Amino acid sequence: MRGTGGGHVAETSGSSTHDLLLAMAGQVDDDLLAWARELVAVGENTRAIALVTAGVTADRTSLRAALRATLVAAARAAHTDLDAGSALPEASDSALDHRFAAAPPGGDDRVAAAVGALPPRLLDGAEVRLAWRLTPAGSAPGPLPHPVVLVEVEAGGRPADVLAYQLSVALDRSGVVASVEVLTSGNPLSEYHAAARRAAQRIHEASATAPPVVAPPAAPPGEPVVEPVVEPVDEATAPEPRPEPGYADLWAAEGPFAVPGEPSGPDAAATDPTGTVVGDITPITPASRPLPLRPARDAAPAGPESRPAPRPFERRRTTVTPLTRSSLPSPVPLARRDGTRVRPLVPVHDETPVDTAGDTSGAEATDPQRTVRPDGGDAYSSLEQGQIPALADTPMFRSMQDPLSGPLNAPLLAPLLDPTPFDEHGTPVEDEDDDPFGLHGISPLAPDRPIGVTAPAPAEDRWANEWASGDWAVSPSDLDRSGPDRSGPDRSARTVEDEPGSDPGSDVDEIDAPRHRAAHGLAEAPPASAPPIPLSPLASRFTAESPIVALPPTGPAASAVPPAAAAPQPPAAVSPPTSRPPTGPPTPAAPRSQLGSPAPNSPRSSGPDRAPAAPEPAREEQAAEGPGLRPDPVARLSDADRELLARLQAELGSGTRPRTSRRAGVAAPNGNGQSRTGTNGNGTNGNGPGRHDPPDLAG
Amino acid sequence: MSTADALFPAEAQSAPAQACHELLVRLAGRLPDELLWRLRDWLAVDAHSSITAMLPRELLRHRVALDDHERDLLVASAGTWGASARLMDAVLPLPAPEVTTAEFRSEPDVDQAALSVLAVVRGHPGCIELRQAWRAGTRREQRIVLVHGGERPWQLAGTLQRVLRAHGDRTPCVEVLPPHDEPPAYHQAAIIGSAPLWRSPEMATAASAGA
Repeated sequence: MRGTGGGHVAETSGSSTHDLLLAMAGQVDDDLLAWARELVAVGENTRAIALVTAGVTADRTSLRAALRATLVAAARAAHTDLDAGSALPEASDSALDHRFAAAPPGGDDRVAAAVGALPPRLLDGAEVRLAWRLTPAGSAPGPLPHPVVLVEVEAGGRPADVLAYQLSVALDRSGVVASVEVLTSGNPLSEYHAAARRAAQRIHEASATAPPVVAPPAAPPGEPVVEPVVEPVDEATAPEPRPEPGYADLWAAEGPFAVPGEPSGPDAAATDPTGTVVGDITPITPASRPLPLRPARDAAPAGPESRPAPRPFERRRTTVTPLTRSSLPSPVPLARRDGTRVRPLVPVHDETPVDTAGDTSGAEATDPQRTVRPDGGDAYSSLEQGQIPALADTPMFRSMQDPLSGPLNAPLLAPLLDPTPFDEHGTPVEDEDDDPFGLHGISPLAPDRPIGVTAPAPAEDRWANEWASGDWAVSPSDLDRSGPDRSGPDRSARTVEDEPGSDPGSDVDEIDAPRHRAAHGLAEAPPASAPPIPLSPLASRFTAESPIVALPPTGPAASAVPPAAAAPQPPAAVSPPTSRPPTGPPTPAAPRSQLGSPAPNSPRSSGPDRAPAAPEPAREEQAAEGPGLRPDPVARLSDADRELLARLQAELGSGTRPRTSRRAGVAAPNGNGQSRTGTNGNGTNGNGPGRHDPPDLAG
Repeated sequence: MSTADALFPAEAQSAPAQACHELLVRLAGRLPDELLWRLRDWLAVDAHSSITAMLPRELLRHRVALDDHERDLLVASAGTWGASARLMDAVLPLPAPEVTTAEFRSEPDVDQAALSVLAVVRGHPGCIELRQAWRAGTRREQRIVLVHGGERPWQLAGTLQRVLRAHGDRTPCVEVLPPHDEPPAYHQAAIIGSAPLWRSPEMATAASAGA
C-alpha cells in the first residue's frame, strides 16, 4: 500500500472522493460511477461513498488492496450504514484488463459531435480525448463498445468533480451515453485511464490559440502521468502544482508502471506508459484536426469562438418577459368586453372608494370594477352606504358577511345587527316585507346610523310642541288611528301635510324618522299583514280580565298626537308604493284578533320570528279587498271596550319596541312615549327614564 | 403467515427476500428507476447488506411513504437483515394508496431486447405471461417489462434487468408480479397499456377452456 491510503482515510472532500471514484473506474458499472460523481459534485459525498460501497459489495468486486483500504476508510469516515470492512470482498491483485479502441467498429462519431456541440464554457482550458472501451465494467454492464471521454484539465483550475458532472449531464442531454473521466494534469494515471488514453483520439484541444509546445524531455519509462494541458499560461502567474490529492497516488503506487514519488511538471508529462513521447501532444490547429471528429454543424467553421450562445440563456430571457406586464394598465380591463354591462359613466359626487387613496377621480371613470355590478350599481358606493349585500354575488364576499367568518368588527357587525338598508342619500330604505313591525331604524345598537343624523332641529320643535300639548300623556292607541268612528272626517283626511309647521317632504319623514319608519313599514304593506302588535293569547286573556282605567280617546290632545300614532290609515293601503305616507300603521287586523276571530293570517301566526315573505299572499289578498270592504269589528265595540282595547294594544305594542333614545315619544310611537299608565310606562318598555326626564327641551 | 408467504409458498425459506421483492415491486413508480433497478439487482445477487444500507435511507431521502403492509414488508426484509430500526420507524406513513399518474402505451414492434427477455422468461419455471409497455417520460420513454408468475421472482427480475442493460436500457424496469394477486395501481395501469409478448401453454389452454 505504501502509504497510499493511510494518510487520507479521513478525507471525504470532493476532490479526494473524486479521486477515489477515478480509481474505481472500470471496477463498477459506468452508470453507478456517473451517479456517484454527480453526488460528489453536488456535495453529497457521504451518499456517493455509500452508493459505491454498496455497489462494489453487491458485485463482489475484488479491488486492489490499496483501493479497498481507501474505500473502507472513506466509508467509515462517511459513517455509512454498511460495514465496508467486512462487506467488501477480499483484495485481489488480479484485475481485469480493459481494452480500448480509438473508434468504434462502425465509425460512430456521435460522441465527438456531441462534445463539439457543448458550450465552450464547459471545455474552456480542457483537452478532450475519446476512447471506446471494448470490455464490460461492473456486474450489469451496458452495451459495448462503451465510449469513454477523457478530459484533462490544468491543476488548480475548475473542480474536476463538478466538470465531470456537468459534462456528463450535457452529453446525456444530447442523447449520448458516455463515461466522462476528468483528469488533472500532473496526477498519475491509473491503469484504466492510461490504457484508455493510449487508444484515445483527441477531439478537443485546450485552446485553439495555444502556442506550439515543444515536447518535453522524456520521463522515465513506466510512469503514467497526465500530461499538462496545452494552454497559454503565464509563467509568472502560473499556479503552483496542486498538492498531492487524497487518492491520487493510489493507482501510481499499485499500477504496474508506478514509481516512487509523484511526478509533476512538464518534465514528467507528455509521456505515455511506454516511455515514448505522446505523438499528438503537438497542438493541433483547426485545420489539422481529424475531420470526422469535428462536427460540421454550420457552413461556417465550427471553431470554439464561433459557437452559438448556449440555449439556457435564451430560455432565461423568456422567463423575464412576464415582468413587462407591469407596463400594462392595472387592472386589466377585462370587464369592458361586455359592453352591455358597463354602467354608463355618471358624475361621481363625493364617492371615494374606501380602499383607495390619493387621486381617484380618474380611476373611477375608468375602473371597470366600479361598473360591473349586475344591477348597474356601484360596488364602492354601495359599500359606503352599507349595502354589503351588493357584493354578495361572489362566494368570498358572501362568506365575509357571515358573522362567523371574520371578526365582529364594525363593518361586519353593523349590517347584521341593523339590517336597515340605506339609499344613496343615507336615508334608510324601508322594506315592508323585511320589517312588518316597523323596527327599522330604531335599533339602539346602531346609534351612529343616519337615524341620529336625521333628527334635525325641527324635530326638536315638534317634540316640544307635543310635549307642551300634553298629548304624550294620552295613550295613542291603535283604536284611535283605525276606528272609523274615532277618526272623524278631519282626522281621516288628515295627512302630514296638514300638520302645522310640518314639511310634507323630508322634514316630516326625518322628524319622525323612527315612527315613520315604522309607519312606512306598515303603510306600504298590505293592511292585513301589517299589524303593529302581534297579540298573544296572554294578551287576549288580559284584555278580558284586567280592569284597566279607560283613557279618553278623544279631546284636544288627540289632535296633537303625532300622525304616526293618531292618523287613520285607510289611504296607506292604496297609496303608491313609492310614496311615504306619514301616517301611522293601520290596525284592522289587530282588533280582529282580539275579538277571537283571527284572520287566516293572524298576527299570531306572523310573529316576530316568522319569515318576512311568509304572509305575502294573504297580504295581497286583503289589500285587494280594500279597507272599506273589510268588516271593522272595532266599530261594533262599545267605548269601554275600545278603550280597553286601546290600552292593551298600546301595552303590547310598547313591549315590542325597544327604546332608541331618551326622547321616547319620538323614537317609539306605540307606547313608549304616549302610553301614560304606570302599567305601561315603567315596565319593561323602558320609557320610564324618558318620561321622568323628558326633556332637554324643557330646560 | 405474511403476504409474501402467501404469494410464494414454495419460497418460505426466503421470506425476507420475497418480502423485499414484493416491497420493491410496490415501490415501482415511487422511487427513481435508476435506484430501483439497482436495488432489485442487489436483491437478485443476495446483496442483503447493500439493500439494508441503502433502502431505508433512500425511502427517507425521497420521502416515500409506506402503508402498513409495505412497512411490514420492510421490517420483514431489511429489518431482518439488520437495518436500523430508527431509520425504518422514520419512514413516512401512507394513509391511503397512492394514485399513479404514469401513462403507458404499447408498441407493436418487438425488438431484440424483447426477444432476449422472452428467451429468458419462457424458460423460467412458473412464468405464465410476459407483457411489455412503454411509459411516457419527459425525455424518453421507458420500457416496462411485466412478468406474471415465476419462481424466485427477484432472481428472474435481476436476470432480465441485466439482459435489458446489455441492450442499452440503462434503467431497466422489470416487474415480476405474483400470478394471483391484485397488482398495485401503477402496475394495473401498466398492464392496461401493455401488449402481450408471450403466454404459457397452460394459461393459453385454460383461457381457451374458460372461453
